[in-house]
Amino acid sequence: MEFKEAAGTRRSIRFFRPWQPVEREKIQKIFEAANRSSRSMNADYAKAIVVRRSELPAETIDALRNPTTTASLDLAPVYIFWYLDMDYPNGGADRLKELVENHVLTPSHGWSKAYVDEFLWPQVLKPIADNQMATMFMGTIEVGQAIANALLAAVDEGLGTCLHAFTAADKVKDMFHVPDSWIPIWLQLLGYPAEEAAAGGQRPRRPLSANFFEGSADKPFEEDAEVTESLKRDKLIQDPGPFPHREMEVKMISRMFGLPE
Amino acid sequence: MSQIDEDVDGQDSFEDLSSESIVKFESVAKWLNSVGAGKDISAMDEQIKLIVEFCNFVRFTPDELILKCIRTLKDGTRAISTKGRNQTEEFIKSFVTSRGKTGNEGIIEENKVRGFFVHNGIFMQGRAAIL
Ligand SMILES: Cc1cc2nc3c(=O)[nH]c(=O)nc-3n(C[C@H](O)[C@H](O)[C@H](O)COP(=O)(O)O)c2cc1C
Repeated sequence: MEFKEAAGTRRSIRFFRPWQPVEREKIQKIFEAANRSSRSMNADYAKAIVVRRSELPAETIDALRNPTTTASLDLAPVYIFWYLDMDYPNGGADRLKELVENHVLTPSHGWSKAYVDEFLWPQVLKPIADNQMATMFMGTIEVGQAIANALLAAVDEGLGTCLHAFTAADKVKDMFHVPDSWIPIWLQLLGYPAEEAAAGGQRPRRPLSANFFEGSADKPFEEDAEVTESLKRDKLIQDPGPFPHREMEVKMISRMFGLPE
Repeated sequence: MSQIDEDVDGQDSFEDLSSESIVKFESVAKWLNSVGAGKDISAMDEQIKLIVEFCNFVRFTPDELILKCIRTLKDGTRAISTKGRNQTEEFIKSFVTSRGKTGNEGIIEENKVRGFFVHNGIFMQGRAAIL
């Protein structure tokens, strides 16, 4: 799938086919996409554990249930538990020096190994590492970037996916031997969609002019109609929901799974 | 008759409801309108009967049941009461168990009752019935 189509096709899927397992190779591709996310310090912020629902004891699934997540937990065959590793600053100086050695961070832009060792680490990065709030603030953004790649990779593989509140973290921690430095971020549910991949049409979003600006925050970015049309052809912009048959689709799927209508 | 005898206002004076009397309650009208059955409720006969039986089991009116799931904050705004919602979940489970429904049959019936609460704004989710 082309990038624009994957970005345009991604939407939160909440009805999965519980009977169709997800191939392990697809999980690898999703993890690789996450591992390629842009990151400061070239650090490893995001950690994730993939688990198949069929391998989980019923009590663990029950512990994960909360009012927003219960039904999808029964339907999704794969759970990915996303964490932030608060130890990410450790080794930061070495990783940055590696980038200097690889001519990624270059003298043309002010970089040197001496700068990393003598100034950047003691004056900038160590104070961040010593400040839990700052470490957390930076880290959650970075995990978000990794997860965004993972969501798109899942769509690219023809899967449905949705992020969910990650509850019962203590139970999960014990069960999967999660290190103390990992903080739970989101639970990603994954599987083949039981609803059509378009899931009733693209979600309503405000126009670019509501969120993006040119030159000044009071000058909304104006769309070029031709570009907008080309993005429709490339499927970044798709038919908006709700499709006329969406209500019936949801009713029928709900009935299939015995969910409230 | 109810096996739930803990608490609360109204239970002692509760009079059994019928399919005719229950539709006069605001929460029932809200539910039926939201499902899209406001004009023709005949398609909902079975679900209405289920909610009648549920109310008669727990011995609360439908409006009282919804109110139990809501609390009013100091500033006057309304929020979903976790305690009330948990109690509702217990009510739903005891009701369905008392009817001898288990497994997927039980899940389906629980979710039919949950629909009444959901359409009244009480966010809750039940299990899905899978093999
Ligand atoms: C960080 C994050 C957390 C979310 N948590 C939940 C959740 O707990 N339960 C749920 O049903 N959806 C959850 N969602 C999905 C959003 O509700 C969803 O993004 C919304 O429906 C917008 O639609 P889209 O993702 O299809 O574009 C979450 C999404 C994100 C990005």
